[in-house]
Amino acid sequence: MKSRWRSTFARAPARRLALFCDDRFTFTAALFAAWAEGKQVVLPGDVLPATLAALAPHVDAYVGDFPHTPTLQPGAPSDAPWPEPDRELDGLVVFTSGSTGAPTAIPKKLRQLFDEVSTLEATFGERLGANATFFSTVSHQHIYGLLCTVLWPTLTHRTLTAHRLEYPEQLEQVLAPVPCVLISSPAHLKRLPDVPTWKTQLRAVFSSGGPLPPEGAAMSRAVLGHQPIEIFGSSETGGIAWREGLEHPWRPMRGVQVRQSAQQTLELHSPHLPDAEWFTTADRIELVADTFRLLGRADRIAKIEEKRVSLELIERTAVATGLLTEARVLVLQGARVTLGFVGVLSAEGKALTRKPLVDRLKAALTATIELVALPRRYRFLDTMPLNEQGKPTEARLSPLFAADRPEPTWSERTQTHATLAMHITPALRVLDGHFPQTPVVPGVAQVDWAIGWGREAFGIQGAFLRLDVLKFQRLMLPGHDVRLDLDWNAEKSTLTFKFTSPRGSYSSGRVVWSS
Amino acid sequence: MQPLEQEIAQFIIETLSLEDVKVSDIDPAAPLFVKGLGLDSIDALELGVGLQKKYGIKLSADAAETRKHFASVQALAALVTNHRAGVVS
Repeated sequence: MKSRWRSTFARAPARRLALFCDDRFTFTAALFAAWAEGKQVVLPGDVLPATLAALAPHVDAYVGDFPHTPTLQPGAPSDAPWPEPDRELDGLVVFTSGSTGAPTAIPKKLRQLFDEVSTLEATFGERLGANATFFSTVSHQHIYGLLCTVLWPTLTHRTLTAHRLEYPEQLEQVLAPVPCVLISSPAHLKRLPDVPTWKTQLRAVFSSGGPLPPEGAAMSRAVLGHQPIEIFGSSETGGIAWREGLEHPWRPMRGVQVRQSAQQTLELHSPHLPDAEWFTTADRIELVADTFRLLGRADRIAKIEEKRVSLELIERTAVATGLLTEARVLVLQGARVTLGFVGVLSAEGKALTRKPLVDRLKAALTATIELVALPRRYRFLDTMPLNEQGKPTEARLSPLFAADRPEPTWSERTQTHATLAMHITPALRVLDGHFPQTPVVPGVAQVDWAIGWGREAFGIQGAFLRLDVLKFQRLMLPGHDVRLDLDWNAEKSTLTFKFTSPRGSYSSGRVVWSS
Repeated sequence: MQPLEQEIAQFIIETLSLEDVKVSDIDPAAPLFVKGLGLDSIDALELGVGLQKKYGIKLSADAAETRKHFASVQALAALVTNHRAGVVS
């Protein structure tokens, strides 16, 4: 397989190859063949349309499972010799997770990756044994998965596995028959089933990608029989430090030197970095002899109307009320920059209706946070939306705050008649999910808009009774400029609405209220 | 609530995109800022801009005067009424 990819890449003029393969064997074959031909491999984390759009300027050709995209195919087997890959080759580009903003491309030289594997092997190799099989619950499309599920087993001649284990139920079967290691993440460890300890031949469990919560560590000990080895690092820096037990400070990986900056943030010097310069991270630390404790991210400070506010402080304060199990705050751009709040409700929180819930959260927050920085918009969910790496990124959270209706321009507004103009922007939340292929404004949303604006224009106070003479004539699509006419008959308590444009009539109807 | 007070309450909700607040939730006599509706200094700036756009009212540079108009929905309604009657505040 490797040699068949090799002959394709040898003939392809493309230098930068986007690689995305579900199957780790295909992925690994294509990866090493690309490096043997001096290509640069660009790794997207997923193949969502927005990711592919951001990827396009960085690549010349595509390899693997890309939807609606022409891809290179393996050719005839090649008998070219396999030299050692060039350690100075800019062989890889990964993207930051985007937990604090838009993803950024990070180029890596092969020596950075190979040296990191040597460090992992020097630190943990002995306890894994020479014949351990690498199982994983994480994707190899990110730096942690690439290093630990592909490069580590391949370069140390151990066994890798083709597919990630997505469901905890699969784990018991695969971990029993052979000596093995599990490359995992907090998102998976904290969701292990609550069962007696499995009989496995596990030698070690690794966790990375985010902070491991105490319940994740406890589940791992109880079910897998291992305290997870946590690795702390980032896409930019690779692995920085590790620990075995949440109570311990972080021990720098072999060859990594750490110090504290004047702003209390972590600075490091590392063979996994592209050069010998000191690299400053946004993680605030406290040094403990030659180890350190993490105090939180310095970049999760937002500036709201010139006031600096710690998003983590808001989240901690909100969770301390007992109404939530998780909270995430993000900055929302708009006419006024405000904070949006996403919370996962606890049993106590679920017992409350929205209004008292928001009031209690605001009351708790105003004790520690200035009024101007108080989150303005609240969304409550059953689970936090996470990306493939188990992180709540802005891309996953900001759609929760997308507008339900367009911003209207009122051209006429009397006691009985109102006319509004609006542009149907593609960002409207109502466009999602009606027909997956064609985003349209559903009829129910049009009626809802007419009722909402009718109440605003005429101060309608009665209770909604029924809809009469409802007609839908034409699809309302993103990009359309639409006019809405509202007529209020106070005597009969009826509101007549009509959505039109030069294209024709979209919908019309009559809403009847109790008088 | 008077019709003009309802209109002002709706104007505040729309101008500031307030979530979870309906016209009927607003007590026209209650303070708008900090206590009551819990608005802040930035909201006051935005309401000032909105008053000028919608009602053509220019607030005086006198902070105490402005604070008086922003005391409640009732006070804002009085400001709009006086402005319409040609009374200079």
